[in-house]
Amino acid sequence: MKSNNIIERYIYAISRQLPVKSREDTARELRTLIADMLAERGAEQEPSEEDIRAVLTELGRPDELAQKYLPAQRNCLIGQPHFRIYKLVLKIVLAATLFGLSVALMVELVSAPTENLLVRLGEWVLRLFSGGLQAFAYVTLIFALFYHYDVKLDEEKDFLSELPELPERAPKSSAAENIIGLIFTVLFALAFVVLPETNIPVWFEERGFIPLLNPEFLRSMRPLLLASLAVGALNDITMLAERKNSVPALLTQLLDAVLSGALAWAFFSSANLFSSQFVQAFHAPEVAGLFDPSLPLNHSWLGKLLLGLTLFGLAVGSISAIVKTIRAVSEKSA
Amino acid sequence: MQSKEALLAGFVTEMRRGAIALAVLSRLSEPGYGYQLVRDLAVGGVPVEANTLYPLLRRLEEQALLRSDWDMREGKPRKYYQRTETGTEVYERWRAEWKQFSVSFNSLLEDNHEVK
Repeated sequence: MKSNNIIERYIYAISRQLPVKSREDTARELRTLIADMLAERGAEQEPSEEDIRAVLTELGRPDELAQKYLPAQRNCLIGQPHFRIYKLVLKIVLAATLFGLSVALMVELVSAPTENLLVRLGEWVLRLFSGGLQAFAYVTLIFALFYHYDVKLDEEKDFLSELPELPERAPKSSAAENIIGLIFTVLFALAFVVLPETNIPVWFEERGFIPLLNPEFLRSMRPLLLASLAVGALNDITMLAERKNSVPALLTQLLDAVLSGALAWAFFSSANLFSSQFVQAFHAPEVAGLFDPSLPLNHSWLGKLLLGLTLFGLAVGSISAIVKTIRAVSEKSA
Repeated sequence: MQSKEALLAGFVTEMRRGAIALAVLSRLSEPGYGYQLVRDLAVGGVPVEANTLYPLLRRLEEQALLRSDWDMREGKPRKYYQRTETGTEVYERWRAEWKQFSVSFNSLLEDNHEVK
């Protein structure tokens, strides 16, 4: 009784996965097959549990056997030819999402300036992450449905006209460009370190030359400025040593962009950027709405615009560098 | 990377997959049941496991190349399969293809052997 129970359970484990109309037929056929196999072992009348186990083991796992009865199924989430188009659409949607969110952040930054840049950057990264994740989920879901229901996406009637272009050889960055960049970085750093107070003299008729910038502010900016110069030099050296679009070159470039962004932020939002002499001497009512040295630069719309453009440029440059590096690295490994 | 044995096993499985249906069709000009076919094919040097053959018979039936009848006379109910008219036509043409293919292939493999 118990042995029969195993056979029936085995058959049920298979038949329940089959279409209703073929279940009974298949079950009956399998029952006879098992009986035939037991008979072959000379154990048809009183099969021992051992015999039954041997026969069922030979037939294999119920899931696998049931799978063989089912018509060839679409057994992955997204297969060809949909997968190829899925990858393309996913790249475009992700890039557009990240770009859109970054632009939105820039607009927010310039319209509602904050002193706490780090918190803003953290929020930005989080928003990019969750936005990217949502874009990924939606595109994947849509293409999984397309694949499952075999929605035709392209008939490829004329595939010859749609052959991909051969990838361009990534040009090596020009060595001269990097060497000149390096020299200027070093000179600038030396000037900043050697001269006690690097400053920009401005001529006023009644006061003579007075310093444009606040020495206190410059001093407080020194670590950031030096770090930025050091990273800039490091970037030039990496570009010289490695190929352009290598991962190390990208990392130094990104770090450079972050430091430059922080510097720009500090310059534009500091309330004491200009020297007190300059604030006192500057009287130009005709530009009061655009420029007032006693207020941070980003209080005027012009300052907001310049800061926004600077940060936006850095973000675009960084994203483009990331994309180029990913492409170069994946081509190299392909 | 896959081992040589795994690669070879994959190639052989791939090669046999389509051919087994031809072997099955060749045996079913007269009615026959599943387990009988398992034994016949094994004797003929083309061993096929029951868990491959039974689903294949079902599929060929769905494709209208085989038809089936239950024989309830003995103690065990048996499902007998036989080629349909379509099944016979497909089988004859497939067999011609196979013969042509095997001649070409044998000559190709022999040539290859000589070059070596």
